[in-house]
Amino acid sequence: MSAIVDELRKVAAGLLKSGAVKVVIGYENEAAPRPVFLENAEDAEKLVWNDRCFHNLARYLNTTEGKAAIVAKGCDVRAVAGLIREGQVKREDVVIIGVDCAAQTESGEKLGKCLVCDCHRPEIYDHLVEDENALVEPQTDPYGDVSEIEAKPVEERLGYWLGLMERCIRCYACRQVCPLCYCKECVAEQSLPKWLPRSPDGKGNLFFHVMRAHHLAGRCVDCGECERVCPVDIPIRTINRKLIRDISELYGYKAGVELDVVPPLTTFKPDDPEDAFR
Amino acid sequence: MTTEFEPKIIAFLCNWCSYAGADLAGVSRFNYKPNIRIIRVPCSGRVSPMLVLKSLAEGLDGVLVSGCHPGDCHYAEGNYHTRRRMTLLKKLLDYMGIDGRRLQLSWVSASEGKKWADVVNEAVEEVRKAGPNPFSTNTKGSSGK
Repeated sequence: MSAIVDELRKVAAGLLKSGAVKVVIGYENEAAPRPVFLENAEDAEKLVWNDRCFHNLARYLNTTEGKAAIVAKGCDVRAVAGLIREGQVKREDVVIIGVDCAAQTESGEKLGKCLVCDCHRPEIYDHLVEDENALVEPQTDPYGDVSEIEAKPVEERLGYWLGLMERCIRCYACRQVCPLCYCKECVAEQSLPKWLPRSPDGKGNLFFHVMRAHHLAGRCVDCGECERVCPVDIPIRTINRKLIRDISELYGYKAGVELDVVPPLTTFKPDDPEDAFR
Repeated sequence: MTTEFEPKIIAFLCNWCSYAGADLAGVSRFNYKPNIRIIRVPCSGRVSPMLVLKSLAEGLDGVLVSGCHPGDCHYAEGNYHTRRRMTLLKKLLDYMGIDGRRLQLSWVSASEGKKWADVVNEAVEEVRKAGPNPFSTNTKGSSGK
């Protein structure tokens, strides 16, 4: 474990000393890691790495000035790739310090996304901190819960989701934490026109979550931050992964793995499936 | 006395094909069900998912989006984008418990007056099967506004 931390600190110190980057975004505080922004090479000693580094630091990429280096797990790298693909950051302005990651845990339990993770090693990086022990096989069917919900009759599905949605307090934490929800003004809060009901009732919340998920269609990388921060435990990933699966099946696309592939909702093929159309 | 549920459907028609097709249906005096309210848009690609969501949230029982056949778009590729966007939205709505049949999709060209009449009749029946919008404030199905 400490070899990884050593290498991480060495890479970060090197980047800061040489002036290659202005800031390194990483994790500090061993006991409960939290995001840290380092501007001096001496501070590289603060960096830590363990199985509670669950924050997706890609969220902070376009909040810093100048070139930035980012400590990123496989899933985080996919979010960074999304930001580059969408022109939010330039590839040459970000140095990706990829870290092999077996799984992240919260209260001693592996996060749901980590059980089905297929990107333990980042696909895109400038520096890679290797950890052979991290490269484990996915454990369960990634879409088991999605299929379970699909199998229910539509009225039951509505009851299921409304029951969960009634808990939503519209704190918008899921949106704020999402690295790809970077709109300056969100339709959820527009008042002219008022696209969605603003009060946090079951109906308004349901439409909010449909909107949120659809705006991430073909962009969501399943980093799971939305679900992790939800204070009322709404299984938000279960909504996102419905779209991830549909897009994979219909258009053969997986978000955040290649920088030169156009996202599925900004392109088309003349022979796309059209069973839904009369 | 029980009255049969009459769905209220909002239809977004592209200016170049489906709107002209609906016009042709009128000129040709084809009868079709009166449950739809037409809104003309420049292109089916103009129909944001937000328009669909807002319509359903406001209590309309169904939404019909119709455009030019693939390959015939006046703007070359607007309807191809519609096809991907609406296919995914329909599946997502259904997954979230909002019957996918409430979102009706079709291609109707300017010469297909008869097809337009058929599309409307079929769409109305599909939405009727889905039943009144559970979010409608009016139990008969229409928002009453």
